[in-house]
Amino acid sequence: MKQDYLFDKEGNDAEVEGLEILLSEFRLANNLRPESNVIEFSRKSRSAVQTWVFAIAACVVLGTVFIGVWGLIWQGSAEMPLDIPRTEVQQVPAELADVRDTKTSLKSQDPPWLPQRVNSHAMRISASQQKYAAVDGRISKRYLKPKLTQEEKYAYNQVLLALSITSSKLRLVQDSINGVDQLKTNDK
Amino acid sequence: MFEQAGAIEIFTPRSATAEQNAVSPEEHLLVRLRAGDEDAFNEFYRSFAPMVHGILLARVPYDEVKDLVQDVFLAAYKHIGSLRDPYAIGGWLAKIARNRASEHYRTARRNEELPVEIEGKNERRSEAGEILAIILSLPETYKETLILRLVEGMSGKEIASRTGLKPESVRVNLHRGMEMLRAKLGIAAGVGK
Repeated sequence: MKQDYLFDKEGNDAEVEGLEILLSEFRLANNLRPESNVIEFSRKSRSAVQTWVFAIAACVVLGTVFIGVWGLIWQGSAEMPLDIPRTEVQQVPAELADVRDTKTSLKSQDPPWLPQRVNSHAMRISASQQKYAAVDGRISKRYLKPKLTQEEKYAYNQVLLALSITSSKLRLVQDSINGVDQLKTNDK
Repeated sequence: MFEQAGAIEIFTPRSATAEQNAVSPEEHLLVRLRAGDEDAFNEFYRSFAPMVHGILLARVPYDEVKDLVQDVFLAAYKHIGSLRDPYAIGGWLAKIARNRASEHYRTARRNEELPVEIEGKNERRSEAGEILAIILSLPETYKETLILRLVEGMSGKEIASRTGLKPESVRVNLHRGMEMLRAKLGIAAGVGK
């Protein structure tokens, strides 16, 4: 029966078969490649989503790390006395004049500003900085504070190094001034 | 009832008294699709792509069908989680295809040109285009079923299984649609003479 072929594809029907052959031009197999297009698209869409997820997660992790490091550095800089090198260097010339007038040797006596400044900031010097404290020998161990972080230690060492260099240069200047004054005195 | 046509399996509900504790192929397929199994998606595509292609061919111009088939399966892939009944996956996908075709007409200017106008490179293709144009002039229910049968080569049982229609409804649509097609072909043949 024609209807059987039309529904079940059983038997034969020349008219329907002819239409099938003719219209097969528009069949899916002639219009599309296999499922690779859609699979690739879905794979790309999924991979794109995954890429975005990983990118966002990486940004969050990096941002957290950055904030943590920045917080540590900020905390360390807040505890360190940043004003020691600059203010002391600026105050030296006036007080050196007082020292010069008293004609005291700088080698035997420290500049008056140094012990005061050190003592006032002695609370901030940690136990790990004793070797730097021993450079001028005036820092008391009882003023040692808890251990600093690596960044804080490095920054503090740099500050002390700058101070020692500055004090050495100032001593040279004072020696030269004292040498001139002695010459003048001898001449007299 | 189980049936195989070539490499395509027809998914039909199993009896409730048999293998109640076993997972049906439809349920297993749905679980795998939700899990993102690419092999399951390949299987899903191979089983339902002819149906989607035929539904779209009944509604949009031929040269736009292949892109819309991709859109339909992509939409199905994205919204597979919303499907609850694994046995309704065919009807659910058919609905997506029809909605996509309607959306295509809302967003794009309708092309009144027939496939024969666009693809007509030879006489054979021109004749096939004319017949397709006549099928497209039939009522929507008939033209969709006829395209699935005559263009995509699906049997009546396959059409029922894929689209979720009852086999008897498919039989009626095929019969009535074929009668109307014969009448119009006869008229067209008379005009051509």
